[in-house]
Amino acid sequence: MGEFRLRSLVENKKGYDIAYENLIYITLNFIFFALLLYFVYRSTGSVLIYEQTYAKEISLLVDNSKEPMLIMIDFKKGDSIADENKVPLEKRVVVDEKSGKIVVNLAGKGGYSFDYFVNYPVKISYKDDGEVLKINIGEAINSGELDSTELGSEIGGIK
Amino acid sequence: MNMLINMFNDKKAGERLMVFWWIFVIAVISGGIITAVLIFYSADYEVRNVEAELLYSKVSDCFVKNEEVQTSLFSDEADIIGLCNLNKNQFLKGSKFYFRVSLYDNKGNLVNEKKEGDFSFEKDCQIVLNGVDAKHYPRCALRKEKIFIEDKENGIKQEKQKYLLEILAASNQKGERITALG
Repeated sequence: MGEFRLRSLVENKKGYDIAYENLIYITLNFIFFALLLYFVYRSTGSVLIYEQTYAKEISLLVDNSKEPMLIMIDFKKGDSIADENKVPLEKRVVVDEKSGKIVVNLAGKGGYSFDYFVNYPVKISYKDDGEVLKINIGEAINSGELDSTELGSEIGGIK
Repeated sequence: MNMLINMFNDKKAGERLMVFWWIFVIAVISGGIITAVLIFYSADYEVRNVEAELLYSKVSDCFVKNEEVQTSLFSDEADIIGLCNLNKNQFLKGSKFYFRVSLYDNKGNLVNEKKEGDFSFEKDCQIVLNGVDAKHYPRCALRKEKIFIEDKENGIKQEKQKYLLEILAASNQKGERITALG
């Protein structure tokens, strides 16, 4: 019965037009909402947010530190974004000790800059292929014997 | 594309109007969602309060060591920025930071005062600390602490005197997006 109705609808010129119009209408709606969802998804995972977050977190950690100190933070998300944008390791987090600035650049387009007010020497290095960010405050600490996950949870690991 | 145009042309006047209505509804929905998402995700993370507290903490740790106020830091020659391990460039004119350390005696008279950074924050902080929420004004941390200082006369320690140490710290740093590394 259902098959008969469908066939008659398709064979009938008017029925065919109605079905065709509805199909186009549904398809256009679907495309529109898919594009909208894609835009929202892109916005939530935006590079701009991560650059700002990392710059502020690193600056506040430096301001809150005492010399000498080694801080390790989880940088997995930053690392994956920078890898996608082909930003070299040494340009991802740049510290200007003289002016007290931290610049986080994950998109290769300049980045986000945030100042810190303490006057400690700050050195940035990486561990685990860039997934862990090491911030050396004051005199460099040899962290070879220390486990990054232990340090991460104890001295300011950001998960 | 021609089929779509023909479909539109084949319609009666009322049905054509519905197409425009549909486009209008779609535009309003998408405009609303896009605007909301852009506003939400372009907002800055507010950390000025935390920074003001951190600056207060640094200055306080510098002026009070082992529960004793470092009175030497109040002398005119004392380079507080250097002695407190602060970055000189961050406390120049037009700075984003400010702090003031005031020492009052037990009668409330100002004995000594030291301040660094953008002095205009002093008045702004009075407004903000009175509960006015001004978006572009700095965020401030103000603490008062009762302390005792051993006065010395001719090098001989006298009875401890009661003082009040007031520290005000402020930050108005919002961060900036840069287009290229310099």
